[in-house]
Amino acid sequence: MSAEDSEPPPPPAPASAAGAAVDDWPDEISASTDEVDSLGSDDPGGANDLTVTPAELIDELLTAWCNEKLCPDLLPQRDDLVDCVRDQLEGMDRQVRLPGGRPTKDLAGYLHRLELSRIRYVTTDLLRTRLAKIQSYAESMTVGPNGGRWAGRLSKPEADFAKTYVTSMHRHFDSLVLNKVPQFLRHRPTELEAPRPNLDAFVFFRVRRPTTTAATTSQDNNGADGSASATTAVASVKPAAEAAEVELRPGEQHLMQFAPVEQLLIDDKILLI
Amino acid sequence: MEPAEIEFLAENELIEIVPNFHHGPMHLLCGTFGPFEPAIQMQVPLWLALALRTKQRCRITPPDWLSVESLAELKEREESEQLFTPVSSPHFREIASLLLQHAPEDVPHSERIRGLIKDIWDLRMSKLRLSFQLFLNSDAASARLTHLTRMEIYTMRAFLTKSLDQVFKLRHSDKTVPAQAAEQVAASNARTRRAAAAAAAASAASSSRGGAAGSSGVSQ
Repeated sequence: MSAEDSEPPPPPAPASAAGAAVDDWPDEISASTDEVDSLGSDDPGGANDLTVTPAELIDELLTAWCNEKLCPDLLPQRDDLVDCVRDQLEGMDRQVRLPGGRPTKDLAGYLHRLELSRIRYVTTDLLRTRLAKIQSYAESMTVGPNGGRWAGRLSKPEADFAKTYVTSMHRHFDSLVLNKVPQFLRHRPTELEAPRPNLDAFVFFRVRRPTTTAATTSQDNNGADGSASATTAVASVKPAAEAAEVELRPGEQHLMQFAPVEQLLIDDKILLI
Repeated sequence: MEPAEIEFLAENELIEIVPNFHHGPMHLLCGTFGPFEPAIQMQVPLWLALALRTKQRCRITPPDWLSVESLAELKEREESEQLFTPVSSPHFREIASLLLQHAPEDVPHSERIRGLIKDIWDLRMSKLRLSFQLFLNSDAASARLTHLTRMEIYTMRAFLTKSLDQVFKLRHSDKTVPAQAAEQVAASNARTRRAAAAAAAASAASSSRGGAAGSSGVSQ
């Protein structure tokens, strides 16, 4: 099955056979396509190509979407993932349409288009969430030559958008107010006053791989679980004064401040819920 | 994350259906499903099952945990235990409400099940409210809440994260201010008490005409 399906499917036949053509979609994206090369491979020459199934790709997309929606700060960009998904969507879309672009009328075509619209929603919402965060914190993100803690997190189009947004906001302030007030009042807010994301916000997360959080104090954890769990329905509560490294086991869910677990999120050891 | 989006995630869970049509394997991006044969049970994602059900192309088989017996047992466990019990599906509420909304004929004793789901939900929500109240009142930096579902967390998220933010800010603001304020309050209380005593003594002195020693003693 996989040997046959790794070849590109035949172009869609006329209406009656369109359903059959759709179902010849390959199970696996072969590693020779350009889109997959950028996914996880460190080797630009393509010698260590990754083979990823579309199902794993969609799983990764859903994870990235959940994390981005629930995170107070902007996460590193996933343009490679988004481009790969977009290519898959376009390819599948071509399959479910007749030559000429009209949708097929059969059940299979309808179900494929339903799936495509679901995945398209996730992709666009991911990008929309990122843009909303960039818009909120554009001033902080464009300060300095590398953009501070956000260096490398914005894709090229997003970085251009941030700069353009800041420039047009400043131009708007100038033309609306600043150019009309006395000279000694014409200064914009400093960098320190620009809005920044709240890294101390509390987040809920589920642990995917065993790990420990960064230590918050130098005191050891005295295992306050026993007394706390007897009184609260929440399984364990760690007093702030004794909060140190917390051991995280796969499958557990926790509530904690974002700053100590930010690196775990970027390393894909936890998932925000 | 909105409830509609949590329901969207729940729709990716697999569920058993019995189709009433023929079709070969369907190669969707999220996996391959089929072949579809009439009266042969198979697994598909919930969104696919609901789409087929709306078009009257299949019958949905409710999952094992969505039965009167299992839910009654779960409700009993929730009532008897103080901590949260594990639920059979991390999306139990969403799946139950979708099935009861779109395929109520496929779920036996649907009204009884609706009542049981609501009771279980109410029990868990009251436990959640109580435990988060205790959490806020304690000096805690983190909590473990392994058996909570996304939908339950959503109901508390906005309130809880904002309150925790405020508590955190207050705890980490200038720590000498409360002590100074307490001293000031104590000092002004003492002054008020002395002034009241002096006024009482003055009125007593004026009425009794001989309270000079008494008033000076009281006013100290």
